[in-house]
Amino acid sequence: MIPLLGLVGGVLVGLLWGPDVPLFLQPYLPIAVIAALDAVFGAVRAVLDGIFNDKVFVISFLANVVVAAFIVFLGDQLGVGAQLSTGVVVVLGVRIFSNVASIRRHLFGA
Amino acid sequence: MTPDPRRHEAPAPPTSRPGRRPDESMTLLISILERPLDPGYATAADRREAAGLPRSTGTRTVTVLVATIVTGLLLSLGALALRRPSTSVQKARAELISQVESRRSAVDRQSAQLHTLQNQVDSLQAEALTAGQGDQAKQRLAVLGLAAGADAVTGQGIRLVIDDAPGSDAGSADGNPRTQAKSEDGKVLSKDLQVVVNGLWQAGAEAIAINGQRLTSQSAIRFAGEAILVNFRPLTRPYTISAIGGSSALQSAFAETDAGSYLRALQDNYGIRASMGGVKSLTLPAAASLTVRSAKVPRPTGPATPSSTPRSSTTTSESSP
Repeated sequence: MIPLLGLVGGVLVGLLWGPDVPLFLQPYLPIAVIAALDAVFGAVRAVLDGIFNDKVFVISFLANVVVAAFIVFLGDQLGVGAQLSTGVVVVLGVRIFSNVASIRRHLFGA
Repeated sequence: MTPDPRRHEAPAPPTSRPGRRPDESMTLLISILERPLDPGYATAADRREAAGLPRSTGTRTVTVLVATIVTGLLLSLGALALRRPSTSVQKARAELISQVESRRSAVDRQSAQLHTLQNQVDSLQAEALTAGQGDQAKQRLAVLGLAAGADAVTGQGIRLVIDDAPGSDAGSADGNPRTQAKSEDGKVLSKDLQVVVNGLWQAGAEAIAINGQRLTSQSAIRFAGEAILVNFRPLTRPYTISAIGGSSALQSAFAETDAGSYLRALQDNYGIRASMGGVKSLTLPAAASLTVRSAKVPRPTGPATPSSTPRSSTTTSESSP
């Protein structure tokens, strides 16, 4: 319940407050969003597995976002930003999909 | 594999020898596909179990609340910031549309104003002419105003409707250049209208309008892209040419001119549709824009008439557009 409330609250704050994201942060935003989604789905799966740990969740969340942003930044500096972004999206996307598949098995038994 | 918390791992294929997998060299793909969950969860759970605590911390902690709030914020911020480009395009579009509309309404307003001002000028002119020794000048003004297209005209006349050849639209729609070239043949060109209008002047028409655009000595009939412009206004087909004059005399005289035979040739060779008919009472509007190019004060007639001279100076004997 609390995580759901937190998510909804965060979304509401974002929608109502709606601060402008600084321009230099904008390229990292899509990657950061996907990394955050990955952390969230991983956490949901850990809850269902019965091994959820809040510290691990926070750290994996922060680390995912920071590392993903750093990879994109590095790619931009090397001139392969788009390709590295694609790589990050593919890896995180695969992880999200298999985590969601596992959540689905937990919830629906199929 | 019994106490392993990672029990969701796919078991190794049964054909492989124990401890060694055939796809061992692809560790990156294996770890992505088979261990999507952060291994940190499992080790943390193991540690807590060893310390005698329940394996999971549960989700009712402040840390979780804060982290989920941050996640939600990130999600909505991302959605807002990344959707903005499309909204800015829409905003620019809406702004352009509103600009077009406001300019258009400004044009409408100003032409209405022009109309009232023209009426004022006309009434003042009439006043000035009646005050002075105006009869001759008034007559002259009426004739010149008619010829210049400064006044609306009503009278007997003919109406000539010219339209593209049937099917010329269907040909151009498929975008095939060959059919397009064919369909171009059936289109009314600005030159056709020029020839026909000149023929009508030649046949003795007193005033001519195309689709409600009064022709003056300064009117141009020309092409801009696909459209025919008259007085710089684009016209849409069919093109209705209204001419004031004795209707039967005008029709027969027009048929004898070069333009008459030109129009017949257009009909016969290109399938352009044209129909002519006499009309009992036609009303042609005044020309939208008449500008004074040159004016002079007439010497002998005195101070009462100068207002009439600018109007007459727009008239020339040249009647072809």
